[in-house]
Order: sequence, then C-alpha cells, then structure tokens
Amino acid sequence: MSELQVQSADKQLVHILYPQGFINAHTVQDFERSIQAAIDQQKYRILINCQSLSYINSSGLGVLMGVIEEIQEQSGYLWLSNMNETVYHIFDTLGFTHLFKVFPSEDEAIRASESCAEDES
Amino acid sequence: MHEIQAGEIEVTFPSQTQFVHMVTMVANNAATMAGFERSVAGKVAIATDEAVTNVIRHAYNNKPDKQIKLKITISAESLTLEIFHTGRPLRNESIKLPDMEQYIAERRKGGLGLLLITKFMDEVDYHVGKENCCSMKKYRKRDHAGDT
Repeated sequence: MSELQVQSADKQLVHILYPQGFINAHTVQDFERSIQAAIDQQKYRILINCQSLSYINSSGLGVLMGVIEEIQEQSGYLWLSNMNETVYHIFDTLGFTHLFKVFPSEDEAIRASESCAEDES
Repeated sequence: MHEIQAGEIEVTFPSQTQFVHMVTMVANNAATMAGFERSVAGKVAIATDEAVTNVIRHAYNNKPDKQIKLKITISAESLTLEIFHTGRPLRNESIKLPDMEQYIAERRKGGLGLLLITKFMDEVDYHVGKENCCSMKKYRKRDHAGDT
C-alpha cells in the first residue's frame, strides 16, 4: 500500500477528495495530482475530507496555496473537513483557517455548499 | 504526565524524502514517551518533518547519497531533537519568518516550514560547525497546563 492514497467522489455539487495517509515531501506530488485532476475536470467546488489524513506538512500547504487563486477565480472554493488535532493545529497556527474554510464534518460542508448554491440562484 | 523517562536515541538515515516519515514517527513516539500530550507530540513530529525536509531540500540540495543524523534527548526538563548534517548550513541570522497576513494576501507558496518549527517548538537554534545542526527543544513543565 502506498503512503498516500487519494480517493474521490462527487456528492451534490461538491467534489470530495479523501486523502488517506500523510502528506509530506515524499507524497506531495500524489496529492497535487489529485487536486489538479479535479481542476482539469473543471471541478472548482472541492472539499478535502481529512478523516484519514494523519498529517500535512508545508509542502502540502504549498499545493493548496498554488491552486486557491484559480479556484476562487472560477467562483469555486477549497474547503476542508474532519481534521484531526495535528492537521487543525497546522492550519490554525498559520492562519489558513481564514483562507480555507474548515468544517467539523463532511455533512456540514455539503449543507454549506447547498446554501452557497441557493444564494447564487 | 507519566513518570519521567530520560534517555538518548540516535537515528542516522540517507538524505531521501522516503525516510522522513519514519524519523517523524520516531520523534512522535519519543515525545509521547516523554509524557507530552498526543497533540503536542504531533507538533513535535511536524517540526521534525520540516527540519529534516529542509536539510534534504536546501542543505543537501536533494542529493540522495548524504547522511542525516537525528539525536533525541529526553531529560527531566525537556525533549531535545538535534538534526545533524554536513550540507549547506542555515544560520540563525539569515532566517526570515513570513508575516502570515501578508503571505495569505499575496497568495505566496513555500517558506512555511521554518515558521511551523518556530511555532511548534519552545526553542530553536541553528549551529554551524564540522557538523551543522538544527536544535529544537520542547520543555516538559510548560506542557503541564495542557496543550501548548
């Protein structure tokens, strides 16, 4: 089994990524490929469910910073949910929770996406 | 807090990213053994990941045939992690930590590793010598109040 696997699924309007393992300098390219694949398919409403993500280092944060502008230009969003304590501390310490909305659960993120869609219509 | 354990651990490994997770887990386990809460052990692990990755990327410029040594010392007062290498040294005076408001506003990328190390550890020092060293310390007593 590889050190990072990223499954994906579409639920309602949201494209959800499920990274399983850890994101560091060794695995970051796999993570980047999975986000880029979503963007290439013009899926700009992305949720990363961190349920099975043990940690992410600054290389992984660099990937998020690298795509956020394009996603926002397309009126999309890059949200995160189900973070463990370590992952949350990393985002919170750096102030990234202001840039990337964080939800306790996938369901809450999906409900928020539905509200966004209603506001747009 | 468990009964205080003391001791030293040394791990030497090649300058390749595939080894980083293993030493990160060693640091995590050492922090847990030293009695730190799981959330603090996670911070120690991330600081170790960032410091070792910096050595591979910047000190050794991604050359895979170099050696890195991680020495962990658990004492009554603290947990110290020292990362030794013979590559390009990082000097205390050359470190510039980013202003995160500006960083986010400008959508910058990279350069967050040193900031995470500084935020997650109590003391960080870079020594230049025959072997260069990044020394990171977490005090045990500061952790009594909870998650720091």
